[in-house]
Amino acid sequence: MGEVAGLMGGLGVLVAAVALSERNWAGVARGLVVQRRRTLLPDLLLIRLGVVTLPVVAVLAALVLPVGERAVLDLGVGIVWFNAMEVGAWAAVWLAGWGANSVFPLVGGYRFVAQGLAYELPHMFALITVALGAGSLRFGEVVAAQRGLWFVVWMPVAFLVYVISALAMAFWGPMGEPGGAGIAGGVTAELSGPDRLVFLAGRYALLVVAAAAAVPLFLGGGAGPWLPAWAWTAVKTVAVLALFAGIGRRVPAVRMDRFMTFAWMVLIPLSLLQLLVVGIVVM
Amino acid sequence: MGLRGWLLRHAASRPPVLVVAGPYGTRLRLLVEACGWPQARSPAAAAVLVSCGPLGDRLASAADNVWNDMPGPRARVSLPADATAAQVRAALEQARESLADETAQLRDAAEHLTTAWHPGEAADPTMSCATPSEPPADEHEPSDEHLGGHGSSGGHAASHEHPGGHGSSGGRAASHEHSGGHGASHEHSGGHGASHEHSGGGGASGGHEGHMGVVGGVAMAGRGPDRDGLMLDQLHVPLGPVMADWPDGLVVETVMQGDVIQRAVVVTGHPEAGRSFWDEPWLAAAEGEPVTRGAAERRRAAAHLDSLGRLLAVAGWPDAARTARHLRDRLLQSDRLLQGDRLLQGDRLLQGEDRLVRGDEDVVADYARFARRVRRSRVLAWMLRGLGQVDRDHAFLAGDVLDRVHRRLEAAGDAIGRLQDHAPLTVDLGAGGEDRGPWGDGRDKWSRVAVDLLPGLLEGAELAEARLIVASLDPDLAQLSPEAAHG
Repeated sequence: MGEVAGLMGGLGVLVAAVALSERNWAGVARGLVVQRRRTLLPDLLLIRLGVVTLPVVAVLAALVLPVGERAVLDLGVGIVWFNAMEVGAWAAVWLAGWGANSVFPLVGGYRFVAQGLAYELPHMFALITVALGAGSLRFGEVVAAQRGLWFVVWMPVAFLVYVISALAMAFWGPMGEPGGAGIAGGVTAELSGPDRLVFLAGRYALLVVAAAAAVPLFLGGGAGPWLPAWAWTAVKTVAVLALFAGIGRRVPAVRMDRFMTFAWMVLIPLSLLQLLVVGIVVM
Repeated sequence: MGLRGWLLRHAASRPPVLVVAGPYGTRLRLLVEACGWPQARSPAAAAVLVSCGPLGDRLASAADNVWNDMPGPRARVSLPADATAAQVRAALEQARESLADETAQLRDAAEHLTTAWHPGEAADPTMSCATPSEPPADEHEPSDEHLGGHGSSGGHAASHEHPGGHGSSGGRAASHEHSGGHGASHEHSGGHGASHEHSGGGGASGGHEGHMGVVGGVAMAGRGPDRDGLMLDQLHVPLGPVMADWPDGLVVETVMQGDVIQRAVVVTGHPEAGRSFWDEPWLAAAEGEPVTRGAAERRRAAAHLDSLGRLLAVAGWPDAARTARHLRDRLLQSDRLLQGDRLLQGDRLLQGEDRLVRGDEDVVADYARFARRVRRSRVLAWMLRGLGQVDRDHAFLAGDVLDRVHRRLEAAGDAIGRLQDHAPLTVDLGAGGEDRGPWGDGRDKWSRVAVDLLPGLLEGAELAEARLIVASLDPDLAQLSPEAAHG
């Protein structure tokens, strides 16, 4: 049970840190005191489902990540599990956007689905590249395969694609258009009080989990001198989060009407090429 | 109780503000934004509603709708037209205190439950079904369905013609008017012709009273062929006037399919006459008041930075937008008209303002860094290129959104370079070469041109593109008033 405590504690601290770093304590307090509200003829079941699903899939995806030496749920198909859980965000965002029965959340929902179509295929190819390089879908063995050389070094394209898709799945920073300012906050436009708090916490959790997954996938997991494995995992996760934050500050939002072409014409061929190179090396 | 009070106090430490400003509310909006409180993106996320000066009937009813739509704890601030910077700060502080005041907020929440909805006016029998059948008090859910919005999604559409309401966030606020009985919506649509066009074109929206397609008092969406020849739901969505990062007082009534705008009608019309805040130094000089050229350039630079802040916010680059607004606020700190004092005499501006002049040097350097950063962003260029193409006749509005951004950056840079020009500003508004407002030099009609161009540019645009196009033109509706037109 030590792993569960470690994972939950670490996740909680990181999510809180990310949320508070945006000077959000007042926002958290607001989430606890602000009234809930309803739109006209909402589909309440779908909204609540969407709101709750987001943090749940983030936690489920985190279960397979090794905190230190071992994961809470050391699955033989850990990478597939991770991918399946994080796709649950599609359902969460779409349900929350659709259920409110209001224009801007609906448009936000559309945008997220379009975003999914753009990022998901390159994302899966990036994960497959890692699995191919390690010869396993188990996170523990992926980490073990990086003893000599971190995957980020010889799979840079896969890492780049992973970073883009991590931001996209958490619809944050440049990939934040589903919740964009131009549509009054998009999927979050009609959420208030605890609904808003849970949904946004779920989004930050997803961002943190996506950053944490980059560590065993590309950055050698808990490997490093002096410090114990769990500490290295935490340090590397924070470093990836810092990278995300830097991107968020420097890059404006990316619209899918332009990005879609880039994703299919450039990212997918590039990630396939990366897959080919890794395949040849492994053989 | 103790915990709730403690949380309320903390929640009130950085309350999100939703600003309602008409064409003549620019000065007060700038003062509110300069206080640095976070900007709410929708009524659901707002804690404070600030009305800037007298709003006029339509805008006031939109503001009321937004207010009814805001969940508690909440506070409302109405600023008088001549409020000074200190008064604005004091009013906001007072709002913060009331947000943290537990008893007042509980009372407001209780009243909100009973007053948010006016079934008495509802003629439509479907409406009474929508009144709350269970007391929502336990749940803390402010009243019931009607409280919130009307949406569109299921297709039942924000639907028709609620020019009265167009709240922010999808005009959700309008729902009250609808729900309040369709009589109300008729009255409103009578207010200006634009909406009638919609009711004609909106298919199902023609039926107002209890026709088949009414769900919860709102008509089902009509249908029409879309750009690919498919029959799709049409939603009638007003954009503005209460919307973050949107020109003050502008309303664009749109017919949308999905997130593509099919038709757009710009509703301006503001009976009260007034002066454009951005034109003030030139108008003052024309009336013989002593104004330095530097003061006018300061205003011009701030105008462009204000527009750039909006565009960058809509473009999803909050960090750059914040920089633009911060630069704008720093420039305006020494703008006496903004602060609510009379314009300083030219000689007093010259002497005793060393501190401000030193500050301006920093602004020059910081602006250069900001402009370089925006110009160099490849992603921004990738996203803005080719949007909202205007032909070459309209000199400073010509080109695409990216061209207009570059032109604004250049114009703001030039203006900032001339801040130290202490020569008196001479303006002869009678002559052809009028030099005033952001684009200066005989270009005072640019707001009119921009408004006339908007419908054509918005048709066929996706919502995200539409927001960028509007922000890149950023018309100053105060320039459309009869007074402004004649100088």
